[in-house]
Amino acid sequence: MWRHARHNTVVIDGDRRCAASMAQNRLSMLAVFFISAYLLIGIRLLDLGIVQTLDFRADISDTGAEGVAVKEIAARRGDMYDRNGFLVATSLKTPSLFVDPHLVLDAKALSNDLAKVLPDFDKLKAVKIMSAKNRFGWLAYDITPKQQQAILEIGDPSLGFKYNYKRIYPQGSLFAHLVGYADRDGLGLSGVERSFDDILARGDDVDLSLDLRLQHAVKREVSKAMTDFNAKAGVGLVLDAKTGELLSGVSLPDFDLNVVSVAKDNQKFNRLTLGVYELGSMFKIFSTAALLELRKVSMGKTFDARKPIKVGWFTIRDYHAQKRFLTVAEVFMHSSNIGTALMAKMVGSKALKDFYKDLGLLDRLRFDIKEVGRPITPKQDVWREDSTMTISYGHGISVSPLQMSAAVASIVNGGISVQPTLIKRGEGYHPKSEMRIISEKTSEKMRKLLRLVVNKGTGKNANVDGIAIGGKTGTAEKSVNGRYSKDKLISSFVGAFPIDNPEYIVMVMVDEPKGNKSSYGYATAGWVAAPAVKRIVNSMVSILGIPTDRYNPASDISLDLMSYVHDKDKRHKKGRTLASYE
Amino acid sequence: MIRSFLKYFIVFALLVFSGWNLMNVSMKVQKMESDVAVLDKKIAKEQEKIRVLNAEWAYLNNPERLEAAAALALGLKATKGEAVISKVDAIPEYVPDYEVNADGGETSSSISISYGYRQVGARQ
Repeated sequence: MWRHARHNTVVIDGDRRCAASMAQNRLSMLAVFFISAYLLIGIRLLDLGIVQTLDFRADISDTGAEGVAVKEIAARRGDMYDRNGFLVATSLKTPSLFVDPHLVLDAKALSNDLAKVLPDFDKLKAVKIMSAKNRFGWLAYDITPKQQQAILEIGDPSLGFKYNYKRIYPQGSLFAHLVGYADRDGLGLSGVERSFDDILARGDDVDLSLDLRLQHAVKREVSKAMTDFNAKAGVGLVLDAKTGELLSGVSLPDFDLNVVSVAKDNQKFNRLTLGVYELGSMFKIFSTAALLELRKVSMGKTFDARKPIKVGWFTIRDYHAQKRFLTVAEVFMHSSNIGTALMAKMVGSKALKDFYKDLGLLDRLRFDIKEVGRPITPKQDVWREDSTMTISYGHGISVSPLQMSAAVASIVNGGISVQPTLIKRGEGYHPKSEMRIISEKTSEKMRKLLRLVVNKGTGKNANVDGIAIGGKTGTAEKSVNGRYSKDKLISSFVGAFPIDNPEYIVMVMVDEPKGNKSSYGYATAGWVAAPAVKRIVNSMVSILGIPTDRYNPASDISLDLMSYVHDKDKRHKKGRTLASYE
Repeated sequence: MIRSFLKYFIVFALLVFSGWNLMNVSMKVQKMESDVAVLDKKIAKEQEKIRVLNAEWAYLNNPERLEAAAALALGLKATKGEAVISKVDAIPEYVPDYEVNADGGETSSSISISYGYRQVGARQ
């Protein structure tokens, strides 16, 4: 078209020509610019409208099934599961009811209506909230879906709901002290809820080492022991002897995690890890192990247990005095205080203290919850001889039941220190650092001694058909107002099975049991705690499917020690076996 | 002249069509996005419902409750220790009460073996 126009153009020369051609140049540059811009837009339009539309269609049919990320309103606290994937703690979205006082027409009528729907609804308080000058007031927290429906049916425009997450513990009181609880704002206040707060708060789940089924069995048997013997409190636990996983931990009395506000201090107190107790003769396990490991004595070495020994102002006696020289095996089997004290003297104060320290009995236990008690031990840097001798049989040293079990696990599992944990370990887990406490050989000797106690000695009542269980009783007098009380006892039993290669440590402790008819009036460990351990092991057999046809009484490992046992065992009447004594 | 006009017309028509198509797609996308948002909400709601049901399921499977219920309704007791053995051969063979029905149809009732407990209730 420009060609036709050009015929009519006036030709201009000189300076003006220069200006005109410049204008023409600028115009054509602009034209080129616009043309290319429109071209670009056109091409892009074609590309988007036709080419990519086809691609888009293909895309939809390709990725139609892809998952959609669902955004959550607020950060939801992580769940907790037991080792088999059963739900232990979860957070559910629950509505809470609020009122806008500005919109309330008849405060009295409205609160009457609400009182019909909500149990324990405080009408007076509600009227006060509804007639306040502000524009917001809470009426009820965490109401159920049914209640919410009923309130919606009232249809009052001044009411409204806000949603937040409420912590729910479907197992109620079963894991009270270990799982712990969180407050309304989702801040962990005790147990794993507190110690793993940062992990749970970011929404990650926690897999616990605990086993729901075992936990129930342990709780059932400990509470049975408590009712049978009219006891004040009780503790029961099952520990994996190799990995240190706590499979079950019960502290009674306990409380329902869903209604923490009504729990009493006595119920909230964690006796498993926070409470420290004089556990008595169980310490003979460690004193004997120290003797065998450090002084390399033979099982046949004898100690003079003919008469009580005086140490300072204190006299060490035996509950059931044998009044003769006892071999190491006999001292352990009869739980002789005198014999053990003499053994400790032979080991020496420093060596015994170092040995206890290696076992972790003198320091606060490192554990996955923060409620852990510090052991009570003599203050001196070097234990006096009398302290050493009494500590050797568990007199004058207090530790928590879990700490005790972990130390026993370290002794029987081949001598490797066990670090208890509440978090599930994967298959084939190996601890990062392995600290050897005693040699494999000493560990084997100790296993034989522990089996001897259950097979022939004070722990007979813990014997389970078809399972070789080893263990040790511990009966201690409680200190009341600085004096030891004869009738207030702490009776406990720690067992390990199968004893030739222990996988589980089972411990029961009963606080202030009273003797009954079935125990011939005795409230000692052999009568109170040992049968409870037996019942727990029986339950474990069926729950975990532990075969009971592998044990052969003829090849019992404790029979190796019988040559060191010189009992004239006729003195004991039927029913009153050695188990009646500590 | 006409040919070049036709050329421009075709280009223009193509552009108009493309623009219309683009708008169409854009509308569809918007519709789909709002659908996705609705579905997202629905999914979140369903997931919340599932969480409530899981909690309820866990509550109903509380061993204490199950033990009482099993004793009451089924007369079941805990397995005894001696029932757990390692050799399958040691179990005596199951002899059913009847071999063949009178009318010759059905044979013995089958033994059902349950490995249930470990799997039931495992995490979803």
